[in-house]
Amino acid sequence: MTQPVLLTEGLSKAFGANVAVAEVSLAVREGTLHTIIGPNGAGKTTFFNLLTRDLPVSAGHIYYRGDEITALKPHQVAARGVGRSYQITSVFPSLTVLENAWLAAYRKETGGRLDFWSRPGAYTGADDKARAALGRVGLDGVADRPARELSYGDQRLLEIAVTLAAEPKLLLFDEPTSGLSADEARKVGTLVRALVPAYTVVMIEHNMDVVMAVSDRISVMQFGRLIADGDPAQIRDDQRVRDAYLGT
Amino acid sequence: MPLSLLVSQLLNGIAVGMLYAVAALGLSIIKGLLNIPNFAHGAFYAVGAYLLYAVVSATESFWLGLVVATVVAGGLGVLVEWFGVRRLYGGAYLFQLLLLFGVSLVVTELLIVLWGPEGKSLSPPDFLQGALIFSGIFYPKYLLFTTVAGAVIIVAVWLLIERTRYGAIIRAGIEKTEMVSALGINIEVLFTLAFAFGAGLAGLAGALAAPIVGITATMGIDMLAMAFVVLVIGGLGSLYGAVFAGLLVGITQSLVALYWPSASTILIYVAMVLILLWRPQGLLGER
Amino acid sequence: MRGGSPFSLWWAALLTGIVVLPFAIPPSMATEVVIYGIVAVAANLLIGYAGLYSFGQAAFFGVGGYMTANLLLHLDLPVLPALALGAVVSGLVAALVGFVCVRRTGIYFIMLTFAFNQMIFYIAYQWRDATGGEDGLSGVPRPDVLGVDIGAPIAYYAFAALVFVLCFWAMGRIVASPFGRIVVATRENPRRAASVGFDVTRAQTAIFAMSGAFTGLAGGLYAMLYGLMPIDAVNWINSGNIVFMVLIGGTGNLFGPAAGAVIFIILQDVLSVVWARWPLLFGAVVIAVVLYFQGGFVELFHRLGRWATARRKARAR
Repeated sequence: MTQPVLLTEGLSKAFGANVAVAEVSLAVREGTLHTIIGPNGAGKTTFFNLLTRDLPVSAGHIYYRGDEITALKPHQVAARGVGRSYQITSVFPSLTVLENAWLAAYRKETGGRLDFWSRPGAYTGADDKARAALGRVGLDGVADRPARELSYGDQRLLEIAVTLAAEPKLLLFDEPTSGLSADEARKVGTLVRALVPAYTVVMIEHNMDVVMAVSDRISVMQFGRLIADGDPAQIRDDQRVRDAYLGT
Repeated sequence: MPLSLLVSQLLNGIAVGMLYAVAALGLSIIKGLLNIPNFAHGAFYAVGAYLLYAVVSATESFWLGLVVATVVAGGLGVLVEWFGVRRLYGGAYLFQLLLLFGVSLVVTELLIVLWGPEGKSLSPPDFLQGALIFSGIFYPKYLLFTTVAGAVIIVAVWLLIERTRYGAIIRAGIEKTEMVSALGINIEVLFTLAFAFGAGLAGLAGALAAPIVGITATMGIDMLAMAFVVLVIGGLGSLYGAVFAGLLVGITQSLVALYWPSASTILIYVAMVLILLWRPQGLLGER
Repeated sequence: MRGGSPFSLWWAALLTGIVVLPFAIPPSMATEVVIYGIVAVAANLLIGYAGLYSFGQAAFFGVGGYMTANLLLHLDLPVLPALALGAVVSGLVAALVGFVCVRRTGIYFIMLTFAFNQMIFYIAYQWRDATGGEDGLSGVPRPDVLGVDIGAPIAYYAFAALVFVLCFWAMGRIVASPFGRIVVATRENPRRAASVGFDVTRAQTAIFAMSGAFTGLAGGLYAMLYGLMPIDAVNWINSGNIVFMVLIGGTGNLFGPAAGAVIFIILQDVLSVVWARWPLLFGAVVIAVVLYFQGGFVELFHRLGRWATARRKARAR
């Protein structure tokens, strides 16, 4: 069996006495779409924040392609090829749609060089990548609009495009469909599915239609712990999951 | 260096540190609730010193002077909050800072207009003149008084904040402003009172400092810079970090002054930088 | 500033202003305007673009000023290297200060910049050999620049204005560069900027250092203006003044703060004629502006423009 792209061992996070993530050990295989589900407050987003080092880890280890990344800083994790989108829309509002994606592509092209003299247009490679990422999510038509002028749904798509523009190997999507209409959610589901197997995707998602339709593997979290792990059919039939989450 | 000198200087440092702590505590309360660095704090401090001077000159009463200094500085705080800071809540943050900068300019210049550009000096009241001398250690009575007064003020503030209903509201406000509103407490009144309280503490600290450091219109600026340093060292979200760090800064400054007077202030900044690099959240701060 | 025409309009206005200024007000005052123009625009790199509210810009103005003054005074260095070294040294000092300050955000960042300003003021006050202490460093010469005599007030204005235009152009390039975009991104969403892969504190330290270097360069020009580098230039009040210039001009682009510098210098001149204790009046003006006139100078322009357009339309009807 090949080495997992992402592996956590006993990953934990406590806020004072409150344990948000408890000893989560999870392996994500290359080229799969791995979904994490669980009730609100189960610790899913906190788990992501640990993976990207937005929060310091209380205990446990994180390995990316066999290398331990537990002690890296957020931008260093990103530089390794881990991209993420946020649950709350997180774009640069005054920059244009293209500039948003361009920044991510530029980072990938140059390693984040602080070039303070060239024109951004001089980086044609970054420009092409940014436009390609926008094309992928269907935002190429509004490339020159400031991000703040986009509809909520389009901002969610931009969020994904920015993540893609950095050409990460591993994508972490935090509820990409939250707040979207059923139609939009399906569209995003299809979009995310199409990224596999070129990318490896870990996704937090609540929309069960989307989850069951697109996932290769599903992990279920409750009270900060991992309570089940399996393919969609197994999860659907798992009694603990039904009790804890599906409520049937 | 004789030990007695060292001890004298340590006692001096504790007194100065108490003053930093009281001023910084006021700054910390304002910062905690209103989330602004009060640039006018130094001006309030100077106001306290001048008022003590004025009252003592007119009535010979040191105690009355302390009360007037505190109350008037607090009242000034009410005015500034009521007519200024309050109108800028929710607006651009920088405008609040600039407002406080403007207030600081106006108040400082007013002091010069009223009392002239030369500094004033003020002796401690009769009963606090002279010094206690024991085994070669020289301990001016006024420094002892300042130390005790500082400790009393700090304990009183602690009791107020930890043991009273108002204190509970202030603590809740520092934790989460929305929560206080949800409890049905008038947040505007709370902010005004907190600002006035902080300003009053600055005035009182300035008055207490007057007989030690002399009185000038710009005396508050040095204190303000030190109080900021104290807050940074003391730590994020920690009211009492200010007390601890204030004492630490006062004592360090006094002791270093024995060996290398011109470096005593610079060294505090060096220490601050080291502490920040080592513990960005400050000594008593939580992440 | 995207799109050609409004941008060149701004530039036209700026260059016209520079030509007209020394005829409208005395040349030395006009020189102060362009010097503080550099300072205000550099401060807006931090305030407007990076969202870093520095209340300590006077420190870098002072470091550059004292450095250049000493090089001219004691080493007889030519003007250009003296100014350049002043800028480099103040940039380095700013890099150090910035490196520490950006470790803390928001309110603590502001406190730290203020505290460092006070520290540098204190050093300047004590280090009499290098700064003249309270009396200021006097007797700073103003030698020829590449063989051109800049002794006359108007000649010095021309030189300072040229430096201003170059600095302004350079800062315009910085803002429009990839780094400029990164800086805006770190302001708007530092967390996202980091997750895209940018080192936020490094970018912030870099813009802080650059702003400090331009400010220091302006300090050097100031030392040569009156042959004197006064201690007041390092005072925190000067830092407050700089923030005022930026705010009254508007933080949205680089042109606003330059206009803010004009307003401040003229205001200072007018008020100081009215009363020796002019800072009191100035403080009152600051309070009034903050309370009643938040949009600053640029908004006044917009308002006037809207009003004029509305009138024209009304008349056409």
